[in-house]
Parts: sequence; C-alpha cells; structure tokens
Amino acid sequence: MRQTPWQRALLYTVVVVWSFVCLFPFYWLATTSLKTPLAVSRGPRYLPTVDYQPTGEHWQYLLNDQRDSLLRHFRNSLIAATGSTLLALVLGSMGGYGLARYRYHWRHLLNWRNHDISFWIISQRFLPPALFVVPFLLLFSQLNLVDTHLGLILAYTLFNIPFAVWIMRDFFVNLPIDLEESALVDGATAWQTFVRIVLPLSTPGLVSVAIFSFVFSWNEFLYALMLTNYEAITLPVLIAGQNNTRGIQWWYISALTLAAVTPVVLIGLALERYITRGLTAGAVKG
Amino acid sequence: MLYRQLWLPILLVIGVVLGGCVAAAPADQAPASGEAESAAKPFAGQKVVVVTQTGRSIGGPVEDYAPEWEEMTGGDVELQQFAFGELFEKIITAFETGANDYDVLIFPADWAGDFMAPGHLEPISEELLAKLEPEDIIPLYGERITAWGETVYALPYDGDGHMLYYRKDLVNPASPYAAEFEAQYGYPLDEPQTWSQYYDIAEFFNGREVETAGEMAPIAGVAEAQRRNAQSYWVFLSHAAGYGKVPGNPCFFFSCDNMTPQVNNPGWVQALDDYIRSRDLGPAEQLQWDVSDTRVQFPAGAAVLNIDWGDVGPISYNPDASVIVGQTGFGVLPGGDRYWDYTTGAWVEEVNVAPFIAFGGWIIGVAADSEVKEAALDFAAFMARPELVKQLAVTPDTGINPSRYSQFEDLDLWINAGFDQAGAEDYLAAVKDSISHPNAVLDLRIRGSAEYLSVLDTEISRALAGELSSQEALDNVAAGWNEITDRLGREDQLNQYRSAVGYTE
Amino acid sequence: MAGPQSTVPEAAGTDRAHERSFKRIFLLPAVFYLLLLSVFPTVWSLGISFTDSQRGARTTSEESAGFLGTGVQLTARNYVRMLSDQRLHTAALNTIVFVVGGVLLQYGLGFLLALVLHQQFVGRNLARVIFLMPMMVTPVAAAYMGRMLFDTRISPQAHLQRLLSSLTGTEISIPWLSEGTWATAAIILIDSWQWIPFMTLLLLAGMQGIPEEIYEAARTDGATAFQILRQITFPILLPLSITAILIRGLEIFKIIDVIVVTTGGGPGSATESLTMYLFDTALTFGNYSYAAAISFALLLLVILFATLFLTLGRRIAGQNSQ
Repeated sequence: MRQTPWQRALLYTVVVVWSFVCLFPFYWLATTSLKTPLAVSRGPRYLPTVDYQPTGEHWQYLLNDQRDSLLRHFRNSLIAATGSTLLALVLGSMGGYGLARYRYHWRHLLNWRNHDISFWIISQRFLPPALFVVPFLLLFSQLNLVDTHLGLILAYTLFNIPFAVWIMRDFFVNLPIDLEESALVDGATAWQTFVRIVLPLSTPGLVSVAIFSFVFSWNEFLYALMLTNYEAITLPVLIAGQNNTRGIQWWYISALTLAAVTPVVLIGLALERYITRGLTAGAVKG
Repeated sequence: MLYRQLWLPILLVIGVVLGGCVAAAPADQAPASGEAESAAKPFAGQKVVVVTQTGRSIGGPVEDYAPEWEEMTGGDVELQQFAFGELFEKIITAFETGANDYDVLIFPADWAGDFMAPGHLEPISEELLAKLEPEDIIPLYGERITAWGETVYALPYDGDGHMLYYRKDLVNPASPYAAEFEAQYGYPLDEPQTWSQYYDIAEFFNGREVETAGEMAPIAGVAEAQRRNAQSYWVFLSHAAGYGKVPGNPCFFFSCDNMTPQVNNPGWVQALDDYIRSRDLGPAEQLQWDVSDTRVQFPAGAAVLNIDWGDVGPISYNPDASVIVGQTGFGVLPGGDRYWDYTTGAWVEEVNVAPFIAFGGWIIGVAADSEVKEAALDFAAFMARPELVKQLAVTPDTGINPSRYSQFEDLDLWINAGFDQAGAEDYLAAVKDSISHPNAVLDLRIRGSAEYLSVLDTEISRALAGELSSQEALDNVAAGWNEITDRLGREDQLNQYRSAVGYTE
Repeated sequence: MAGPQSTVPEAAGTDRAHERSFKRIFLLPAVFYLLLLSVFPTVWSLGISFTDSQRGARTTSEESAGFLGTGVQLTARNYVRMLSDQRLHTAALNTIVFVVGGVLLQYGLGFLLALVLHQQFVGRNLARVIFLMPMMVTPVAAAYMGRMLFDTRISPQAHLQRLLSSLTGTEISIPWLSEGTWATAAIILIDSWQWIPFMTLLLLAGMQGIPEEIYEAARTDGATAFQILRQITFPILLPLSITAILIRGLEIFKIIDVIVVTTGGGPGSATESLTMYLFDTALTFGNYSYAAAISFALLLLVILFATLFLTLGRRIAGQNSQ
C-alpha cells in the first residue's frame, strides 16, 4: 500500500512516541539502578555522571552478595515457566485441534457441545485466585507438592491451558483443511496428520501460546507466593519482597527488575521472529 | 497402535504428576556423618529454614551470623524472606493448611494472638531462657510481649515503639526562627511536648523556605505515613494514645468490662482530626507514603517533624541516606493536651503522655511442627543471645532496636556506630523513656488483631481521603470491631484482651 | 469470515473406524487435566461458603487440628452478608471501572498500534520488538516502575509539571496516586502500558492472516483506507477481538499486584479491587467461608457476563460475515 507523506509522517510520529513510552521506563530503571539513595530521594536526576555520580554498588550487591539467592529464584522461575509452557502447549494444541476439527456432543454429560466445552475451559480462568489458593494449598500439602517445582508447573499449566486451547482453536479453524484431508486419504492417522502436517503449519499460533504461557508463568505472583516456601520460590516473590520496612530501595529494585526482565525479553524476542515469519508465510499461502 | 497414541499424552501427564510426587516426597535418609563428628557437631546435616521479612533490617543478621552457627554445630541455615505485606498471610496459611516448611520464624510480636494462641509455636523452656540473661531484658519484652498467658513462646530480638523525630537545627530555642515562633504562638520554640505544640510547629514551618544541606528549599511540616494497607495505622494509633489512654487503666482499644470498642470515643475522634490535619501539613504525596517512605524522606530533608519506630535514629546518622546528620532531635511522642476518660464519659483537662509501643518488635519463635526442633531452638537462642543483639542494635543497616537494659548503658556502642555523644544520649533517652513509661500503650495483640486493624486501616484511610468524617469513620470501625468480636466469640475475645493487657478485676 | 465457534468442519475421516477414539485423544487430556486440578478447589470452596469457617474461631484450649472443624453447620449467612457489605460494593464498582477503562484503552491503542506495525516502514522489525517489551515485565515490577514514575516529587513527569507551572504561571500538579480518580487512572495506565502489547500482538497476527486479495479488490472498487478499515479489517478481526477482549477483561477483573504496590487500595477506598478484598478476607482475616461465598457470587456474575458478551459478539460477527 502506498503512503502519502502525511500518512508517513503520522506513522513515524506514532512509532517514535510509542517507542519512547515503551522504553523510557526501562531507561529509568537502568539509571535508577546506578543512583545512590540520596540521588533518588532528592529529586529526579537524569544522566549518570552529568547530574549525579553513578555507583555500581547495587549491581555489585545483587550479583555478588545476593548471587545465590538470585540464581535460586531465577532457576525456579525458569523451571516453572518452561515446564508449564511445554505442558500447556501439548495439551492446549491437542484440545484446540479437537475443538476445531471435530463435533463433540456429550449426550450423557449435560448435553454439551463444542462451544459449551470451550466455554467451560475458558471459565477455568474465572476462578478468583485469592480464594482458590487455599484449597490448592490443602491439596498440595496432601500430595507433598508444596514448595516443589512440579507443584508450580501443575498450577500454572492449569491457568495456561484455557488460553492455549482458545488461541490454538482459533488458529486451527483458519487453517485450510485440504492438506489434512489429502494426508488422511493417503492413509495417515489423524494423530500423524496432526503431528506432521498441522503442527508445523501452526508455528505462529504455537509461538504466541508459548510466549503468553511463558510470560504468564514467569511473572505469576500470588500462587508462587503461597505454594512455595523456599526450594521452588520464584522471581516475582523476590521482587515484590523489596518493599520492606526499611524503605523502598528503588535503586536495588531497579537493578533486580532489569535482571529479571532480561531473560524473558530475550526469549520473547527470539520467539517473536517465528510469529512474523510464520504469519507472513500464512498470508502468502492464504 | 491407536491405543499407544492415546496413552502417549495421558502417560505424559500421569508420569509428570507421579514423578513429581515421588521426587517431592521428603527424603528421609539420615545424613551419613561419622559418629565422632556428630558428637562434636550436634546438628550435622540438619537444615534449619528461617523465615522473616525481606531486607537487611531483620534478615541481614541471620545472613551474617548463620555461618558462625553452622561452623559450630554442623547445621545448615537457609533464610527465606517475604515482603512485610505478605508475611503474615504466607505463614498463617502455611500453618493452617499443614504446608509449613519453616523451622524458625522471626515475626512481629503483635501476631501473637494468631501464632501463639492456636499452638503453632513451640513453648520456650526455662533452661533456654536462663541462658539469655533474662534479668537484662526489659520486662515489657521478656514477660509480656514474648508470652501468651503464662507460657513464653518466643525470644526477644528487637525492641520497638513509636517516637518523635524533629529537625533539631530548626526547632530549638536558639534557632533563627525562635523569635518569630514565640511572637506568633506565645511560647518558646522547642521539642513539642503536646500534640497542639506539634501542630503549631508543623504549621509554622510548612511551606517555609529553610536551609537543608546547604540549599534553601521549602520544607513540609510533617512526614507521617498515611498510606492505606501499610503500616500507617500505627501512626494514627500513636496520635490516639495521648487522647484516649486513661492513666492507670490498661484497657485502651476496648473496655475490659464488655469489650466495647473505644475507637469512636471523643478522644479517638480528636486524634483522627489531628491525623487528617497532618495530611495538609505534609507533602502532597503523603497519602501514598508508608513508613518505609517517610523514613527515606525525612532524613532526605523533606519535613520538620516525623513519627516512626526507633529505626530513623541510625538512618539519620547514615551519610549515604541522610542530609541531616547530627541535626535530628529525638523525643517521646507528644502527649494529648487533654484525654477522654471513657469510664466517666468526660474530658480530663491535663496533659497525657502515653507512648505507643507500636508493633512491639520482631521476636523469634520456633514452629511446633518443625522436624529439626532442637537445632531450630539452638539457632534461635544463638540469634537472641545478649552479645549479639547488643551489637545489632547499633549496626546501621539492621532494624534491630534496643530491648535490653545493657543496650542503653553502653554509650560507646552507639558512638562507634556513627552517633555523636549528644545524639546518642538524646536518642537512647527517648527510646528508654518511651518503653519504660508507666502510661505506655501496648499494641493490640489478640486473636484476629489483623482483621481488627485492617478495618481501622480502611476507615481511617477513607477519612483521610475525605470520603467520611472522623466520627463516621470511627463509628464504622466500632461497628466492624463489634461484628468481628461477635463472630470470634465475645467472651473469648474479652478474656484474651484482658490477659493481653494484664487486666485484673 | 465466521467466528471460530460457528464453523466446526467435520474431519475428513468421519466415517473411519477410529474417528471416535481420535476425537477423545485430542480433547480429553486437557479436559481431564482441568477437572483433576480444579474439581477439588471448586467443591471445597463451594462447601465452605455455606459454613462459618473462620480462622481462630475455636476455643484456644483445642489442639489446632485440621482445617475444617467437625460438626460443621450449614448456613447461608455469608451470602446474605454480601448484600450489605459496603466495602464489597465499592470494590466491585472499582473493579468494573478498571475492567472497562483498561479494556477500552488497551483494545483501542492495541488496534492502532497493530495497524501501524502492519504497514511497511523502515525499522518495522525493531519497532515490533520495542512495542512488545512492556509485556515481559513482571506486573509487580511494572507497578514499582509506575509508582516511581507517578511520584509527585522525584519523577521526571513531576519535574515536567513543575517546569510547566513556572512557564505558564499556573499551578499544575497532578495528584497521581493520592487522589481517587487520578489513582484509578494511574492504575489503568500502568496495566495498559504492560498489556497493550498483548492486544497488538494478537491483532497483528490476525491482520497478517487477512489475504491481500481482499484488500486489492476493495481498492479497485475505490474504497478509502478508512472504509477498508471499517468494512474489512475490523469485521474480519472481530472474532479474534472478542477472544482477546474477553481474556484481557478476565485478567483485569483479577487485578491485585499492581494495586497493592502502587496505592494499596487507597486513597480511602478508591482503588480497592475485588481480588484485593478477597485476599484480605481469605488470607489476612482467615474468613474463608465469606471469601468463598463472594468468590461464587463473582463466578456466577462473570459467567453471566462472559456468556452475554460472547453471544452478543457472535451475533455481531455473524451479521458482519453475511
């Protein structure tokens, strides 16, 4: 599509303004992480060495003194997020495929059809977390799952499946059915068709689900707080914990937040490419 | 073939679940340490998990001194920290659902009703207490705050109470502002003794350009925590104590006859009016400030007056965080200019100093369901030993405040920690006068105190935001408190309150 | 173009012997998983909502045994109490404001930004990366950032306000976080900063799936860019939009971490959300039964709203596709 100069100017203005909105908080974190307490509490200071004397003290404290603790939380977040993302991908894409390609009619069970089932699945996200964490704790303490990576993975998968099913269902519905039909005609089972033909075509959908699931699990706070005690505790709990009675240590929180965000951003960015590549391919084919 | 495919995903799920359960099952093997070694190191291979709030203030000393204990006993200490705002919910829910993993708990004394009363903590034996020089511990901490009924459930670690901080360079009879102040208010400018003097000073200075760290800048009258869902209701209670505490009557929150809430009596209403006045005499964002903000802002020169726990003393002497080193005055909380005697239903026109022992300090307990009870008790005693807490009270980045007589006697400790002689004397006198004051008010420490105080917190926040008048807000609190009391059982609650304040008929 | 619900193409091998089994293979693992993990919490909560369960409401002499005491009596008191609970009503109202405000802002801006990213321009890949970044931040951390940037003393925007005040001679001072309406706005802004990328990503994915031929045809017919947007892009994206709005709405409905960090529910009761109130009731006060009752009332309401929303959305989408 050709753009007029005005459209072009508008386009770039929006891009620049919104990039600033997105990036400035990150810049502010970076500069705050180099400030002394007084440089923070006595008004805004913008540029290191220009209007305040930077200090590496907080980074040093985080990466040296607190390294063990940081790595422990880090590792736990990584395990919980990866585990639940994989599980949600497997179960979610299968469920989504089922709902997209077959008609279900549970005659003996409430007489449910596809869209009732879909609705029930998404309704799992309606449950108010603040209360349901209590029966979860009861259940998990019976099963010895409190403070384990597996416990968190199981819980997060529960939260991720509904999105995974819905997003994947929408993707599969829009996939052209001819390829699957010809595979079936060639004698492949539905399962083989799904694994060999459908999944590779659905990379963008799978990647979106993976990003959302990973980001959700990496960042979840309430269940991480209540379901873990020491061994499996994750990063958001560590970050939230920085508000202590000693005063909010903006400088330290900033360093910590940057450290916590970096890997997700990297993973997200690495994956994001596949979405666009896949999508473009889809558009050409479409 | 078909069934193999069906099983694949199901097996995956089941496999992961079962695998996890097995992996999660407690590993029961005893550590295979040699006989000789375990004799010398009694807790070899035992892991003690300590839980407390985040930050160096309370947990820092555990990080610093645990290696010494590990070396001595062969045990292994792990520290887990949570934000203050989540610590209570986290621990109590873990206790109640049987999901508790913690052995040693360093927790605020006013949770006693919820932790000690239901038996979640291990009673502390006489022998253990005897090792900690009990005669040195200020009785308020040793006998009241760490005990439930007759049984001691925790070890004293930290002392805590609210006190007054002010800019001594501005507020003193020789200050450049003294003459103007005296002309305006008719008495000399000095440490405020009553709340009306406190507000005179606040009003006099609020918005005025004064010199702070070499710069002329407008200063606020007060820096008081007023944030909702934080620790600010304690600041309000510090206002209320002077107006509502009846000398000689230990029952402050409730009447000890029938648990009638006193929270909406005229004394408390006056206190809330004052607290609302503080809103207008402080920085604009004060409604969003918690104690954790005011204790950053006051030392950064934001205000003339401040109410806080003992922590601001050492912070104000820390040149990294404070621009008013050596310029801070310390005092007992101002008294009420008069107080409401609810037993007679009338104002008594005399100054009533009633320091509020807000919070009561962090104390160390051992979980009753701990699997390494011996080691946990030993570590608790190690952290609470007199030499250590004495040192900790003067370490600037800890929040450990004095709880022992000896901490007040050793001035050198404080001077070595950065205080100047006069400042150390002033600070220690203020702390000691507060906690040993005969009219001091103890925090609410009965079952359900978290809920009582949350109702209070919500309603005073609404009054601060202008949604309700002081009287309406506190009437709501009284109604809420009655509802809680009835729900938990009025008779039970009355007995608890009586024993918590040491009331005898 | 039809909504995902309305087209469920029958698989080609419908009449194959194992078709029924394959149907199950695909759907049942997810269904069983959800059942396995959510049945107990749901049943437990429903049960306890009809009791008096309250932490500490036992005589102290009793051993702290079990969570549910014996001799439980059933009561509907909790459900009655909700009707007169002012704090609950305020929290519900606040939550609705968050949901409506947040969804409108996020969908509107998200759509706009997706349109922008759908254009060809230099640096598009970089922009896509930048626009996505806020979503990666832990909500707790985003809230800390927000609190830092909405501060009225030490933040750059406060500095800007002071500059503007001295330039214009009028006092400009926005009481972010310390005045009810502004605090509500600040929370919506923080949440939106973080989640607009979610909308953008989903809608962009949808836009890229629209075949170029449809646009070509419209352009040959002489349609303006705005007409194309209104009559082609928007209707085609409607089903996806409905899913995206539903998901976001549900998530905002459960907002807690951002509020706890920024305002703590204050000033007054201006920003307390339902989840915050539930957290207090269940975990701080230990009043599990009442929290459970509220949860179920909410669950019913949410199901009602979601059904209405989906039905309405499907109807509109259906009309558009004809």
